[in-house]
Amino acid sequence: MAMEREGSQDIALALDPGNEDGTLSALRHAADDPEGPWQPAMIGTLLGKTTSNRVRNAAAVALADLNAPEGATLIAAQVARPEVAAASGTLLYALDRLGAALPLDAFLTVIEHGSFEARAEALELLHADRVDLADVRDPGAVLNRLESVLVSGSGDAVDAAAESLVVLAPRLSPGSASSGSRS
Amino acid sequence: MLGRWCYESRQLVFVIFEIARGDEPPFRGGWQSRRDRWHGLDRYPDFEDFCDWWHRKGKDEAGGNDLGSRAEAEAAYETWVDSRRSGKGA
Repeated sequence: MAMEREGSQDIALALDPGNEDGTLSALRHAADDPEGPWQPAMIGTLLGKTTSNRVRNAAAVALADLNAPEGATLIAAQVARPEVAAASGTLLYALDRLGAALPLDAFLTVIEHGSFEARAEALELLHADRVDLADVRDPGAVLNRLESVLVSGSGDAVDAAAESLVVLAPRLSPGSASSGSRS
Repeated sequence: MLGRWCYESRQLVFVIFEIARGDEPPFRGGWQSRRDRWHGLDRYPDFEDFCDWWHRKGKDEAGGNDLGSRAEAEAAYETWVDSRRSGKGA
């Protein structure tokens, strides 16, 4: 109980915009002290609550440096948030460092709402066969989301959506080896 | 059967769309390469070092936002090269 309260206080302090530089410094050194206060669960909480791109990026890199097994899930959950996808380049870099796959929904969110950098990182994962297609129940809806970007998007978004469609359409087609399973 | 036909038709539409845009069809030599996406930066042997610097230091110093375009990626790379020359690099 006392430890939980202590952790809450640490999180509150870490989320304080006035303490941003201190939080960044602590996250950068988290991997130097794996037994220290900055455990993956606490970094994951910070990752989900912070509104600072700098803190979110440092938290994701810290999870990668700690090589935390739960790190990939924590990071992917943030990438799937449209408001985060626009600044998810470093989250995807951290995911790559962890050797993890990106869930398809998060991938689509990056194509729809991501930055140039995030889309480039996501497409790298797609071409490396590291976008997880295991739980695709409605392949048509996936293709529809990408088609919508083709129609209403612009610039890099259209290029990324077109590239994604060309790669994903055959993989999601009925009877393909990867349809309905991890490719 | 019908489902398969629908998917294949859809794929054909995508390919026609890309060819109409003046791009090469995706079947020869792969689709848009990483080189195209990063505006040729990844041809440099130190591209991975640049990526490490960008995600661990450069982006933070630039305010924490992602690169918004190929031009911004090139500018960030130049910043990294300059910082290495002056001994401030990663």
